[in-house]
Amino acid sequence: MNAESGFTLKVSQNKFLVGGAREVNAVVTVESTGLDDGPGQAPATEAVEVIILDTSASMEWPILKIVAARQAAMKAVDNLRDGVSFAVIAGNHLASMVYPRGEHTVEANWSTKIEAKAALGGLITSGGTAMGTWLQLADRLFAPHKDAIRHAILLTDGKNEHETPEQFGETLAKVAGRFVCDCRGIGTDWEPDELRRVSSALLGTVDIIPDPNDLEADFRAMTEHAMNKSVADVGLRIWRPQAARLKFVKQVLPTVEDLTHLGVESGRLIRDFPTGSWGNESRDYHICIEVPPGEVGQEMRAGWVRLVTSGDAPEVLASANILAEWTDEERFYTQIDAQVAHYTGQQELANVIQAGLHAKRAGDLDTATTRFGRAVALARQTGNEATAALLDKVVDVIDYESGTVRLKSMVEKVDEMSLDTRSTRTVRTRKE
Amino acid sequence: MPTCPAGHPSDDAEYCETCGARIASSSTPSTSAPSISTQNVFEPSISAPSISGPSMSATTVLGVTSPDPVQVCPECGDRLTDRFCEGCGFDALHRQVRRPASPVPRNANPTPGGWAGSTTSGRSWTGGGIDWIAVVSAERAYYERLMAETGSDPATLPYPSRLPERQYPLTSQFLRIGRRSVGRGIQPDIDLSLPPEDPAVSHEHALLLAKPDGTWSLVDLGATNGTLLNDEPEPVPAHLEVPLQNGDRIYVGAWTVITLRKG
Repeated sequence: MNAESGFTLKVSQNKFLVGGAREVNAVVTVESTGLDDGPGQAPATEAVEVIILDTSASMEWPILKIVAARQAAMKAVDNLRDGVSFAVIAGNHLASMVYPRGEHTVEANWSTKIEAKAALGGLITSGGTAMGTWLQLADRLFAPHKDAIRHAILLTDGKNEHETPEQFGETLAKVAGRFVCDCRGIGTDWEPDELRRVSSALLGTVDIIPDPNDLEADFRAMTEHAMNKSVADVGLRIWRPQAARLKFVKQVLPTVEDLTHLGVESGRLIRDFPTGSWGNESRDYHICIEVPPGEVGQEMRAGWVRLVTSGDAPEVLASANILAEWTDEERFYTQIDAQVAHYTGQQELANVIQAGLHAKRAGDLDTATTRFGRAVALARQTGNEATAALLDKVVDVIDYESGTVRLKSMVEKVDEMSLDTRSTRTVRTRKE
Repeated sequence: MPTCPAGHPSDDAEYCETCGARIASSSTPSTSAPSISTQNVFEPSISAPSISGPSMSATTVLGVTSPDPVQVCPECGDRLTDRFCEGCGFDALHRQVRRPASPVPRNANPTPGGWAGSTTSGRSWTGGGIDWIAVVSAERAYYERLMAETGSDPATLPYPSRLPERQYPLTSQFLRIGRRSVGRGIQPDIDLSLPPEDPAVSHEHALLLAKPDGTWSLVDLGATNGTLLNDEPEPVPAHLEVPLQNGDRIYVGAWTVITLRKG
């Protein structure tokens, strides 16, 4: 642990394995406290905020959508701390600058904020939707600010129809991890899967804003949240033993995000996973490593987790070990660590909800019923009340315990999409 | 420079930086390091060829291993990683040894109260020479009666295509009947979440209790769908002990029947 850095790293696991077993599971809790605690002290780190608004033709109707989007963006601009660099992008099948005119960011102050709001007021809607182009423009705006906290907000109301999924995928692969992007879908005509791809690649969140009137508060919350970040580009650096395999690395709190594919080999037996920027907060990660099977009595380090800053001379903020020890004593190896068990349940919950939604869309109602039933039981067992409430709008629960449910005959699309976008949110174990 | 047991030089003196093996071997054995007393521990290797595999001889030096001997289920050909096959539920233990030569203590080392909420403290073997066995299987007649009585659609809860008999020797003071729940830390002794899972069984469904006189009784734990005994049309009262006799049939869930056999 490194108290000075403000970061701590805690490992929760049962290191005991039965002789011959290979899979080591651990939950790693990363907590940052005391970052910028000084009263009124602005974070020393530079910050850049880019707001991306969908201005495709579909935003025009109902008229409230573009009006609400404009107002929400204005509120977000108002919320920027003076000194933060910012820009506003309008996106349809192309991406264009709303403010400033040129392809760069400007420092937020009294007069630039007024200018930006005036430019937002003149926004008009037209054209189609190609989100990849928006993200590329944002990426170019962020490029000169390598060490800054880089955050974008993306608001859309429709499907990505004016570029191929391949083009979109290429763009995402190119910009992945370069900035943090929180995505918001307004109305119910957008694709949760699409926005989730963006938020996953860009370490952000995705949410549905059913009512345009709620946009303002949400934008304000997002900018405030982003302004509170003070350490940019923290990475999880994981060493594994030779002949071992890093099976997966997932963020499991506050949401489930699989980071496995974002890992970059950064040294011998070492892989780095981006976690974006940090304020005072706490996140949990589930790490699974497959090690060569050991003999009873053997002990090893199955993984060495370090939290590092980016740049040419990375600083280690905190570190901890994931261990393995083989035993033939049943009472040791049969214990499942409470944290690991809890988050395994939370991941399964997110997975069965997605499976249920896909089955329902495909018309396989039996499968959908079983999956949602399992989800209801899991949500209850793991104490995830928010997800339980979302499920209640899609199914009638006959028995919580066994997860016996009936699909509701009439489901509002907004409820189904809310379940889709919010089902990756997790909770901590009830007892610490 | 320190060298690990596998011969890798390592800058890290505690764990090898190549294979992770612990280097500092002189340290006192960690408090949790198990002291192994094999004579009390039930060795599955006498029955099935090391199903739980603690006596793997194939493993050599860490990092340089020969492949595990893979156990294959003789019923369905799936890989066998535990006593019960994950594919078909085949009970490898009792297939291999139908009747243990001597009564087998299921758990010679009492499990500490690790499973939250479970009461394992009173766990000790009491079978003084009398072998009681609980046999778990499925009964179609019960299933069909239940479906008809509740007006359920058999399509939503189909009768399992196969349910191999599982035998549980009654060797502790009580056995919990239910379905495993990782989230709630429930690990029943007779776990009906094993495939094919009987979803109508509650997680904590019922108990089999050993009586001082060597007989057994049944306690329903307030299960959602109740517990039936033999041909009684009404479920047994919840939370009350019901004495059991040799040959009694306990019906739980949608199709599960647990038959008690003595000797």
